[in-house]
Amino acid sequence: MFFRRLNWNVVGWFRIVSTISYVVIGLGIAMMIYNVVKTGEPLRLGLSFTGGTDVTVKFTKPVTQDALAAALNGIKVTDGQINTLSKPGEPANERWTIETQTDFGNSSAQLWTALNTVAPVDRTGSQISTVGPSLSHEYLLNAIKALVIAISIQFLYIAFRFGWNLIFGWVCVVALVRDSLTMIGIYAIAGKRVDDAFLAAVLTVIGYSVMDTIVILDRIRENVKLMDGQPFDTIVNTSILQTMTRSVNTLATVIITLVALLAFGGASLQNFAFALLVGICSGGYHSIFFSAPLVAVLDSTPPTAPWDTGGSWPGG
Amino acid sequence: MWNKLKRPLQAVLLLALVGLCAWSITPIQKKIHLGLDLQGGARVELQLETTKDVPQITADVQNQVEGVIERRVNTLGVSEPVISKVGSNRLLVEVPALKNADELDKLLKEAAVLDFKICPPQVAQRADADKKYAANINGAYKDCGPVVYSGAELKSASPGFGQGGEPQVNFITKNPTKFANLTRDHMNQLLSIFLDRQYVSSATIQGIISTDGMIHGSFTEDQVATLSNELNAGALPVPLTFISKDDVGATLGKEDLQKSLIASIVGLGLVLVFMIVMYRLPGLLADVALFVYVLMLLALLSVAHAVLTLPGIAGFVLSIGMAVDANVLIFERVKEELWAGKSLRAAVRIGFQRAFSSVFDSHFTTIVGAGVLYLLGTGTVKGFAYTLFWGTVFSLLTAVVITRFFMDLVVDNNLVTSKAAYGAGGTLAVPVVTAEAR
Repeated sequence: MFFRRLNWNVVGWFRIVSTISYVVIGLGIAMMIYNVVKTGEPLRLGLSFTGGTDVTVKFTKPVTQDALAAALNGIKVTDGQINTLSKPGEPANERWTIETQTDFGNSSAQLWTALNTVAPVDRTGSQISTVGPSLSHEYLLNAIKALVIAISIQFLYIAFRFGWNLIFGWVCVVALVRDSLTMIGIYAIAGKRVDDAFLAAVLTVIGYSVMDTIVILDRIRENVKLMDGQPFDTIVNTSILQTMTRSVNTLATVIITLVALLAFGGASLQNFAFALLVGICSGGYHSIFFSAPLVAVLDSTPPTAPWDTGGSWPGG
Repeated sequence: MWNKLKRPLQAVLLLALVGLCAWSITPIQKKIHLGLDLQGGARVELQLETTKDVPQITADVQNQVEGVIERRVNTLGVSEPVISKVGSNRLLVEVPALKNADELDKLLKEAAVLDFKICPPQVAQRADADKKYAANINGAYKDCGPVVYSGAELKSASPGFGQGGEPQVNFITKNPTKFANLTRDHMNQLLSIFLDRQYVSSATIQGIISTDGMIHGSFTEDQVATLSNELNAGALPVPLTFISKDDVGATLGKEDLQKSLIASIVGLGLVLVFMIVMYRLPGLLADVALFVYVLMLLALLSVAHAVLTLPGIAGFVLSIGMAVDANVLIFERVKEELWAGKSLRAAVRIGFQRAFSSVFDSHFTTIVGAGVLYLLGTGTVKGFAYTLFWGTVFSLLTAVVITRFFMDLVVDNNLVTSKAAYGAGGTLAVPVVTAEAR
C-alpha cells in the first residue's frame, strides 16, 4: 500500500538499474577471468565437484595452524586449506576445518592418526566428508544436466504462459540469465566455493524469480486492456507500482527466513543461506526494476491485438 | 441445504486433517527420523569394481555384495543400519550413532576377497617366514598360480579344534564336485588361503574333500574365530572402493540440529509477526493456516519415513517463507478490490480468484526447480529438494483451500467487517484501476 502512493518513475530508472546490474555482472566476469589466469579455474569448485576431503576436526585443546600443517605434510597432504572455526563458549583454535583434494575415502584412519599426533581429537565433535574423483565428475555432469533441464522447463512454461509472446518470453529469459550470472559473479568475487548446494540455490532462485517476473508481466498485460489509450510507459509503470507491495512482501518473507538461517543456522547452513540470499535479492531487484521496465524499453508503443493472444488463467 | 452444511462439513474435515497429522507425528522424537548429519553417523558409498573373473557387475553380484555387507554391518550391533543399492554397481551404507567410526571402515574394507590357490612348497615356506612377502600382492599371491576356488563358494565355516587340540577352521563347501575335483587333482600339494590377496596359511591336501574341510595353521583361537566369521559372512565376489564418505560426530550433529531448530523457530516467528503486521486479520488467519501447513509437512515426513537432514531443514525453513507468498498475493489482491469499492464478500471472492494464476505460477516454477533437483541432485541436495518440493505443494493447498476457508468463515458470518482489519484502511493517492469481473 505504501508503494502505491509514490509517484516513482520506475521505467525512467531503467538506465541506472541496468548499469548497476551490468557493473556487478562485469565485476564477476572480470574476477573469473582473473581467477582463470591465476589458478586456471574461473570459480573455486567445492568438494562435490572436485573430489577430495573436507574435515571439521575438534581437538580437546587449542592447537596451532603450523602444527596442523606439519601433521598433514607428514601424510603428504600439502594442498590443505586450514582454517580455524571457533564457536561461542569454547576456547579458540580448538575447532578447525581442513579442505584438501586428497581422497581419504579408503584411508581415513590414517588421517585421524595424523591429526591425533597434534592433539587428542574429539571424534564426536568432528566430521569428515570425502568424494572420490569418479563420483565428483558424475556430480558435475548431473549438476549441468539439472541446470539445463530446469531452465528448459522454465522456458517452456514461460512460452506457455505468454502464448509465445516474444517480448515477454525474452524478458523472462534475460532475467533468468541475469540472476544466474549475478549469483555466479558474486561467488567469484567473494571467493566462495561453488558446490552442489550452490547449484540447489541457483535452481531455487531461478524458479522463484521467474514467477516474480511473470506476476508483474501479467499485470502489465491486464492493464494494457484496462488503460487503453495511455502511453505504454505509463501502463508499465503503473503495473510495477501496483504489484510492488506484493513483490516486496513476498521477497520480505523469504528474506526473513533466510536471514534467520544465516544468523542462527550454523556453519553448514550459512553457505547455502548466503547463496540463496544473494540470488533472491538479485532476483527481486531484477524482476521489479529491470525486467518489467525492459518491456517498455523494448517496445515503446502500446501493443494492441497481439498481446491478447497469450494463454491465460481464469482471471489472468 | 448444502449451503448450510458446507461450512460445518469443511470444519470437520479440517479438524480431522489436523488431528490426523498431529497423531501421526506424536511422539515427535520417534516419528521424525533424523538424518545422519543430525544424529551423527557414517554414510559410505561403495563402488563394486570389476575383476578378471567378474568382468561385469550384474544384479546378482550386487545383491550378493549387499547381503554380505548387511551381515557384516549387523555385527556392529547398531540400530537401524541401512544398506541400499545405488545404480547398478554401487551400494550405500548408512550407519547411525557409531561409537568408533573407523570400525566401520575396517569392517567394510576387511570385506576381503578370499581365494584358494595351490602354492609351491617353497613359496609357502617363504610366505610363512617373510611377512612382507606374504602380504605383497606381487609376492606370494602372484607366485602361487591361479585361483582354484573362491571364498564365495563356501557355504559356512566355524571355529573348531584339530586332533591335537590346536584351533582350526572347519568349513562346508557350496560346490562339492568342484572342490572334490580340485583336491583330487592336487593331492599332497599345498592348498593356500589368501585374504584380500594376502597370504594367510597353507595346508597339505591329505584326502579328497567334497563338502567338509578344515583349515589348519598356527592359529590362535581368536584368529580362528575371526577367520570363520570372514568366511561365514561370505567373501565378497568383487573388491570395493569407497567413492564417498560422510562421517559426522554425534555431538556435532546435535549442535547442528539445535542451531537449525533455533533458526527455523526464529524464521517462523518472524514470518508470523510479519503477516499480522502487514495484513492484520487475514494475516492472522494465514498464520493459523501456516501452522496447519507445518503440521502437514511434518506428518508427511513421518508417514513417508523420510529422513530429515540439515539441508532438509533449510528447505523446510525456506518453504515457510515461500508458503506465505501465496497469501501475500491473495491478500494484496483482496485489498485492491476493497479499495476499488467492492464489498468485503465480493473482494474476498474475486481476490482469491484473480490471484490464483499468480499463486499457481509461483508454485509451479518452484516445484519444477525442486523436482529436477530431487531427481538429479546429490544425496545432500536431495533432502533439500524433498522438503522444498512437498512444502511448495502443501503451501499451495493451505493457501488456497485452508486460508480461504477461514476467510469465508469470517466474512460470511460478518465476524469482522471493518476494512481496516483487512489492511485496506484509508484512501489512495494514486487511483487504482482494477478489472471488472469478466
